[in-house]
Amino acid sequence: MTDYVIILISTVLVNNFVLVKFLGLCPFMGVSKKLDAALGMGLATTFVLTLSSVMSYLLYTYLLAPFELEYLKTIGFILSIAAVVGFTEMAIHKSSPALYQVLGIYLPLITTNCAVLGVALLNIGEDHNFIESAFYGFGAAIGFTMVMVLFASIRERVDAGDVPMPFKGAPIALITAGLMSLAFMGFGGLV
Amino acid sequence: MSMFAGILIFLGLALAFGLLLGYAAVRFRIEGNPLAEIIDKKLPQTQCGQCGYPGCKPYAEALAKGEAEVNLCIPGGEPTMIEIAEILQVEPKPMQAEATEPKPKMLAVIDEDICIGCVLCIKACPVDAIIGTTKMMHTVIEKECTGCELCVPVCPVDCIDMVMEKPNLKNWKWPEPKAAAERTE
Amino acid sequence: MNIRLHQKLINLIASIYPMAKRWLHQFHGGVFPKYNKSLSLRQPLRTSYVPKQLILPLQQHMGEAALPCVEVGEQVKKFQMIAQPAKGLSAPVHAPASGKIIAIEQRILPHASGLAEPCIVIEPDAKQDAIENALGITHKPKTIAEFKQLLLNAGIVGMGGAGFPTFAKLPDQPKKIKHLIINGAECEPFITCDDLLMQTHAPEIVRAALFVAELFDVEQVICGIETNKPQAIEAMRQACEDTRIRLEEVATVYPMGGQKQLTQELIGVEIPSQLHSIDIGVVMMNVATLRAITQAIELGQPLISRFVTVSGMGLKKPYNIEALLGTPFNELVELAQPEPKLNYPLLMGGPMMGFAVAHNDVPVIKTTNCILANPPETSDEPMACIRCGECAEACPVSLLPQQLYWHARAHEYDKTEQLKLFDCIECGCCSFVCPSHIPLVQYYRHAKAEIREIKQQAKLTEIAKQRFDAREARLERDKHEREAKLAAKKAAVKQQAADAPKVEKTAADAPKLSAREKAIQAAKARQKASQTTANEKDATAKKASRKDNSKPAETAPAQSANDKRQAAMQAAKARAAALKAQKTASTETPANLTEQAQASSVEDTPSNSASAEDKRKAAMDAAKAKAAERKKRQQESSQ
Repeated sequence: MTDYVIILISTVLVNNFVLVKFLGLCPFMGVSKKLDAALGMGLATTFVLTLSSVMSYLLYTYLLAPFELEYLKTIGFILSIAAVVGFTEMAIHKSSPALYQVLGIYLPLITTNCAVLGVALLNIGEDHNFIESAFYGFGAAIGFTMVMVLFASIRERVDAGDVPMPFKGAPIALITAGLMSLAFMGFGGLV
Repeated sequence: MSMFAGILIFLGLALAFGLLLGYAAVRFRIEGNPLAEIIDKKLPQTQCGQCGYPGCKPYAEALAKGEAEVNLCIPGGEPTMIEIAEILQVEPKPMQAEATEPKPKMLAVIDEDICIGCVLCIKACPVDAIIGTTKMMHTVIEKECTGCELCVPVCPVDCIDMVMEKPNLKNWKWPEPKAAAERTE
Repeated sequence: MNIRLHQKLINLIASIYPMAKRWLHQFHGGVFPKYNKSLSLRQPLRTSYVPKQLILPLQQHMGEAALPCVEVGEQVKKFQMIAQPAKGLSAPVHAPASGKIIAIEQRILPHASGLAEPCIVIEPDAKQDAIENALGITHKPKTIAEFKQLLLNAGIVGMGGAGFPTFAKLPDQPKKIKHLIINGAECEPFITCDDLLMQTHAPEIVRAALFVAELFDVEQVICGIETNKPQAIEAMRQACEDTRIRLEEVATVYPMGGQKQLTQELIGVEIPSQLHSIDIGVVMMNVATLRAITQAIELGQPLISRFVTVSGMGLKKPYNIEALLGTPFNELVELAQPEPKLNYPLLMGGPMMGFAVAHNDVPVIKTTNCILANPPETSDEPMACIRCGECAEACPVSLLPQQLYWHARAHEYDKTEQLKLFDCIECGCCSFVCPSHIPLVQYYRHAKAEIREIKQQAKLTEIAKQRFDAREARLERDKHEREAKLAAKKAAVKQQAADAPKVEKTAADAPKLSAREKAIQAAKARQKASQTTANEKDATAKKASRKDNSKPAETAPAQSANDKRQAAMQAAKARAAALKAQKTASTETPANLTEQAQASSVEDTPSNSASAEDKRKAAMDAAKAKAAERKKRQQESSQ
């Protein structure tokens, strides 16, 4: 049990995918202008990430490994991720058109979100078992969502603030991201 | 041997995922076009037709289908264009130079001395805000006029003018204070 | 005694920690400005002053403007109603003195906008003709409805500053009011008019309060007066002796006089967000309003005057006066010997919530409690917010002024609404304590106005959409109806055509016809049939004259019908042009005459010939030129 807690803490804080491993920066900068959009993106990513890490684990262990097709794992993972994302997109479009609107172009972009493929590959690299993979994917997603929400909250405020002209917009956002990253470095050694 | 196994496995996977997505496409089919509704809500509903569509709703539908440019709504001006662009996730396009600012609300006023009672403006009004009948003087219901200017060109005797709403105690707004120490240096 | 000790202790602490004074009251925050009340308090009450002109705005209250019921040049008596209330929320206006109506025109109002609105201007005479018992009372009102009608007739509105018609804030049923609160906590600096009123007219205030309490079966009547008005407290205490009114001294803090604040202080209940005080069974009345009620129910006098403080740093002899409504500000200020000269805008209201008037000759209205003449000081430029949080500490309604400011400035109005912007009472505490001198309240006022406008706009948009949809539906229906008619007609024609060939065959007797000729014949027959059916229909259904018209229309190609319509249009245009021309031609030139002749000739003969067309065009052009000339002349004359 402690293993799982450690995996969670490590993926959420210590090895945060966005701020420490610098994966998934595209939606991090793109969808963090509004808090609700960021939260929606985080939740969609959470769903996709958890499901795809489980899927890719199953795919690898029960299909690729027995047939010694490990070298095809990247293609296989992308295939499964794309399917999951496509499915999620349709489901969200039906169930919550508003969220679908908010996520917009970024939802299909989860397919190419390197964090998703990263989690799948890291799962294999670190020899995780089924439940560990699930936790690893879930933890990474929670970390992603948390950072998205934090960053969006800051950005909303910064947009209204007295930012010097040359720094308005993307520059101050990048500086903020850098500072947040520095802050997350402080979690190193926690686990 | 392993090459064939690979091909087979991936064929199978692709088939399985394809079936899954195919099922999802049927299961989660969307009726109608919620996008058009959302855009329609953002449009100013003057029904002026300046976008080239017969009303706000048709324009919204065309936008939702991706058949229309986002910068056609003149009364809405730039803010509306940006809102539409955000909804559709497309690049905002600059408005024509004259229409960057949303127009202040204007009202049509019929000069009743000149009106000949031709009913042409009544037919043109998209919100039925003009009353009158053949050979009778017409007048505009101020409350309902959207300021679309559609009645101006059709008037054969040029008796319709667009006037600005006068400021009064009811529509007066506290002015916004000058931004406190806007730091630009 | 215990409370006194508590107060003394806190005052002692306050010498070290000034904000300890906030522990003396119930509500959150509050500020302690320099009161400067002694300026106007020491002087005796000035006797009445009648100005050269009385300017009476039709809108001195919240709601709809009153409607004038006198005419220019009319002689009016004191107390006579000169403007009747409009439908809904409104209040009448009465003549404060006898005199002549010299104008009903736009005058600048004592309002932050500085807009000009219709006012009735009276030139008072010396006769002092008054209508005794102008409201025609024979007895004190016995029912609530009667009382409310009297309040409406007397034009009584909330005189604390809001100007909400008093009749509208009272419930229709007795026992709905649990607590009646008499507001004697005049918390704005400089203002002493309520203080003076309580000192001089305490019994009247108490009588009105007791009357209202009786009528509405009120459980508890409380009078709240701030501790810095000892003489007023003494006077009220004497008047309240042996009555059910409980007199409470409340701490001196701004904004104690606010409705929400005083309610919380006296009965310990906070008025919930978005609710009115009546929702929790509280009605608060200003002392000035109560006095006006007494005058109405006992003497039958409508509201024509009020206590006004004329004070400020720029006046040598500040004073209080019972001023007639409509008295211009500058005349009252001149009486107080302004020093230096009055060349700066006066303030209506106190320094916290008051506003500079657009012109110094604006009149005293029902809500004018103070005219303030403070010479302009060098105002501090607003600087960037340093996030000190003082504003949040000071806010008497526990809002987050800094957050509100942030969002209001960024025009994120939905966020300001989430932060309960509409609970802001605009008291100005946040601006007062702001070390960066940010005009916070002005941001909130602007945001409120913007939000209201956005909501209004949304409503209008919704209506426009509905009307558009309704119109579309109507057009669609019409089209269907027309199509259905057409289809029916066609079916009838077909029926005829089906019958026709038989007749044709027997009559024409043409055995060797090619298929094409047959088809042509059939078509001809159909046409004939249609003509006959159409004519038959016309004959039966429509008038004979109509039939004559329909015949050529049917026989001639559609083109000509179109032309005819166009011609008619052109004729109409020409007629309009002629009208225009006539209007301009006060001295008719020959050119004009010929044009008219042309126009009328066109009118007479709407033929399709080319020459007529040309003539018409010429006439149109000429008329247009005339119209342009007319416009130009109008402009010149207006200049």
